[in-house]
Amino acid sequence: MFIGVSCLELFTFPFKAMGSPCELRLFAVDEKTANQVASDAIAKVDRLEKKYSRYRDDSVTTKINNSAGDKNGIEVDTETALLLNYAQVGYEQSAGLFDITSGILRRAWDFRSNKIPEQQEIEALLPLIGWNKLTWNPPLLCLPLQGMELDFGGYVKEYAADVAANFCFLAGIQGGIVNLGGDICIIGPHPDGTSWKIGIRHPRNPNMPMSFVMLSKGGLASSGDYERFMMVDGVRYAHILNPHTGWPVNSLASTSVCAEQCVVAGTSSTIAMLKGEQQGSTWLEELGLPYLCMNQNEEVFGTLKRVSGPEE
Amino acid sequence: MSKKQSGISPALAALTSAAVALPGFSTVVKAAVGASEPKLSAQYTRYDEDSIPSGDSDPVAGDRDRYEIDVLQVQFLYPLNEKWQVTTGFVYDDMSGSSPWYVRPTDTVNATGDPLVVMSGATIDDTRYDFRAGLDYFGEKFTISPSIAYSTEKDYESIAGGIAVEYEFPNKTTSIKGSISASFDEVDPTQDDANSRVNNEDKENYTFTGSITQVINKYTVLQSTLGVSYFDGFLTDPYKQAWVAGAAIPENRPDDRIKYTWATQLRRYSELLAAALHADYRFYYDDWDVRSHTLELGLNKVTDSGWAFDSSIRYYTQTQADFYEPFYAQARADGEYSSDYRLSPYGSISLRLGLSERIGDWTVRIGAERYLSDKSYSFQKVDVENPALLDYTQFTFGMDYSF
Repeated sequence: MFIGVSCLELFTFPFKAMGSPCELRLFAVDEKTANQVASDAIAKVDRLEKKYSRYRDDSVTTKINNSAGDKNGIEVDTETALLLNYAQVGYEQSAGLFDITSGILRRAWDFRSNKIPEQQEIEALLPLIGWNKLTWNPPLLCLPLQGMELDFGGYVKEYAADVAANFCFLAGIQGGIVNLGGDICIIGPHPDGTSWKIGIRHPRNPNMPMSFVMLSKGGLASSGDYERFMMVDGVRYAHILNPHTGWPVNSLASTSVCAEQCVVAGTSSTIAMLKGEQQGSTWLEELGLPYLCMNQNEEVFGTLKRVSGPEE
Repeated sequence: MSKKQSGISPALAALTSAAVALPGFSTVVKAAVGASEPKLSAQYTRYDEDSIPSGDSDPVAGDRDRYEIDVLQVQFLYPLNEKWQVTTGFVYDDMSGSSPWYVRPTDTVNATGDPLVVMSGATIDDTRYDFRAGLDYFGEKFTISPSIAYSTEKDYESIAGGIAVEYEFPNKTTSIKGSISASFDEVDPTQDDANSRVNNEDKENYTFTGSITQVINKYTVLQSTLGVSYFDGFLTDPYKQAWVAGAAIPENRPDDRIKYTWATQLRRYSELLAAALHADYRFYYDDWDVRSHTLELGLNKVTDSGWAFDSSIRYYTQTQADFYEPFYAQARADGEYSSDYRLSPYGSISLRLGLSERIGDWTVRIGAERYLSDKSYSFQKVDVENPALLDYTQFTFGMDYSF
């Protein structure tokens, strides 16, 4: 009756969320358990997507953005308050480069149009950007100027990966991996203790991984100039936009960082990209987290240990 | 995660600290949310006290076999919705055997010598029924839990109620809880021609507790609780007597008592063992002068194949109540007497093991406990051990079904 040796099977659950292809892989005792845990974990990702979606009328993001210009501000719930605290820390630690008020630059930069915006289009938006312009006294948030917006998209996907992985772990899954469009959070290693082999996308070749890494715990997140960009007259303009100038940053081609929490990995790689190649590399060295970068010359460097071979 | 020689980079420390505060990160803290499915649990317990050793008991009177108790407990948990849940419970227990009646000296003429316990002659056979119901409300920051309980047996009736409120701070790592409860008991002992006993007596109890729980990090939680409990009324055991200067008379305890407790628990998840460890310490003091310390260490392991193992070892030591004696050579000015071993100085050690397995919607549990008490286990030196100190064995078997 009491099983001494664990006999776990691997169950895979592909799904779509946050605009990306996602996947849950769980080692579980049977299909019913795996299905139950996976569907609850996916529901948690879905809940976060809906709660912070820019496109939904009932989302917290829309409610916050609709309150812009109202001097009374808006009271936010506990989870949003903690996410705002996190965004504030990101802003402070990046000398203002990580700024969740900079999302409105998408009004000037349409990467599907292949057209560079006019300087005055960008200049019209700059006064509405700046975390230092809003008032954040938990739980009261005030966006004083109409037209200001917050965008949680820069870190809510990595946070969702952490939430989903933590939920699976608490539900009794001891080995597994959450992958939300390349943002990874490990639930635990394989039952025999071996790590997960994860491929990091090559910035210039989507079909071929740049490198593989072995992870048994924690999170891995990547940022790159290949995610949203346009080529105009042979020059690449990517979505890594400096909130002070409104222009794309001349930067690394991609950065990947490992941290105990996927959200910290994601913010670290985003900040590295925003700082540009020189300062970004220095930032990563000082941070001390394992990282991997590729620069515009396709040179790969970093402290993250790489392995070769086909991906799992 | 690599660290610089001088420590973690400040930027990393700041980001990590803000990240860990986000909801959904802790592994160990009990999330104040309701169950998602109704659950029915049933448990059978068999409790067996070891017989009194012949050297400790009066060779003439009483039966040396002590209590045997069979208990059946049933509990039903029903979530009404995401915020409300109801629990109801029923306990049936059947007790038989004899119990310590009074303690006398070996030499009753000079009131000296080792104490011998005189066991109750007639075997007691008593059945108790207990009903309880509770409600839990899970709010955004507060959890509120009122409850009521009713217990009845041949000579005893009790009604109790209480409410607990828990508040979780916005940082999500600290929560505080307070509770108040009251119970009103009535005892109407079965009468015995040979011994005069009281009729209808009652007692009341009011208890207050306050606790704080702090998540230290992803794997560690600390909790500390202070409690005060006030008892008023008939606190004596109506079936027990004390040997006082040659005669056995009904025991008599003070008619009030205040108890203070302070308990602290540390829970830590060990990645190496893939198990949760806990260490608990409890200090107790009351105004009858009883002081006790309890230390418990335990390990809980849940495996991925569905079975779980838990074990704990508990050490307990207590000092005596100020009016307690095994027997009394002379009468006391305050008229207070008790030879109840539960008010004597002693120490105890107990070991508990449990095993459970989840099979689909069912969970099956078995457990065993062995408890030994003795004057030599006491932290402080004990001159005379109460001969009625107890050793017992307990087995449990339970099943849970989730709908």
